[in-house]
Amino acid sequence: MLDEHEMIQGILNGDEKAFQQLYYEHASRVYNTSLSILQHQQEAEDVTQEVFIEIHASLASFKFKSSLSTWIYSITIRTCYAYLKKQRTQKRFAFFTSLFNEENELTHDQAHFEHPGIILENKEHGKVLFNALQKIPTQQKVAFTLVKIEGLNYKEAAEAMQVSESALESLLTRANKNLKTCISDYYKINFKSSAGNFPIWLLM
Amino acid sequence: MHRAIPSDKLYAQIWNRIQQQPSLSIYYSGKALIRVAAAIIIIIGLNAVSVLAVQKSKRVQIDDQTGIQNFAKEYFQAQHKDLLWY
Repeated sequence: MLDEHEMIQGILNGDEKAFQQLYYEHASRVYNTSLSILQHQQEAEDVTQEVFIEIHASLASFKFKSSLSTWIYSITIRTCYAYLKKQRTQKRFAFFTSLFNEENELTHDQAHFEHPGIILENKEHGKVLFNALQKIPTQQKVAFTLVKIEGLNYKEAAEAMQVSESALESLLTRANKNLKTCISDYYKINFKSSAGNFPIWLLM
Repeated sequence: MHRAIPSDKLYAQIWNRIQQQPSLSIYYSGKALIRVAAAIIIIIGLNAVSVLAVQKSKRVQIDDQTGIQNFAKEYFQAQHKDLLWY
């Protein structure tokens, strides 16, 4: 196992093993972040590919001003934003298609996203949370994902998003407020009660 | 929450793409150079257009002025032709 500097030098020298080490250390982070933002497994894999190709191409410009993982997170967020922008453009020119093919099989993804990392008993809560995440503005969603789901501290998340820490705090406050509203509404409509069963610790 | 794991073949796909495009860093820096060149061309073009526009407006002013001078001269000559010896 190489340390970070040796690994980067190895990659710049064309060593595949060094790149493989980088991939296995960081792929899960990149994939999970993309999955939480895009809520689509195939798209998250596509973004992961693009991110690692860009890392390989621009590693020479990495000057250790931030940690390697923060730098990788910032590339991931930038790539996700570009993907979301492309999706919005495609939607403008979309046509209606049937959900089912000739064999009556579902051809499009389900409306509710099930995160493969959530254990069985929390699947329903996970669906509610990710559904609510889709309804809030993208920057708030990214801030929430980085801090609450990926577990970054405020400094790392602010660097990854290229905003100040106070801006990040503001985004998180608004994200929490909006998510609580969405989740409460969901429980009121579906269970005729407030979000008493929702693991509210997720929003703290 | 546990981490989801990307599919096993993803690394192979990434490495294949990197191998097929060994000049990706040249491609990215080439893209940046083209954008810079395009920006410089646009700036030069805009400057050229504004210089031409200023020159044209000066020529119009000069033409106008010459026209006025000629008219004044002809008018004076017509009014005072008996006084003019040339």
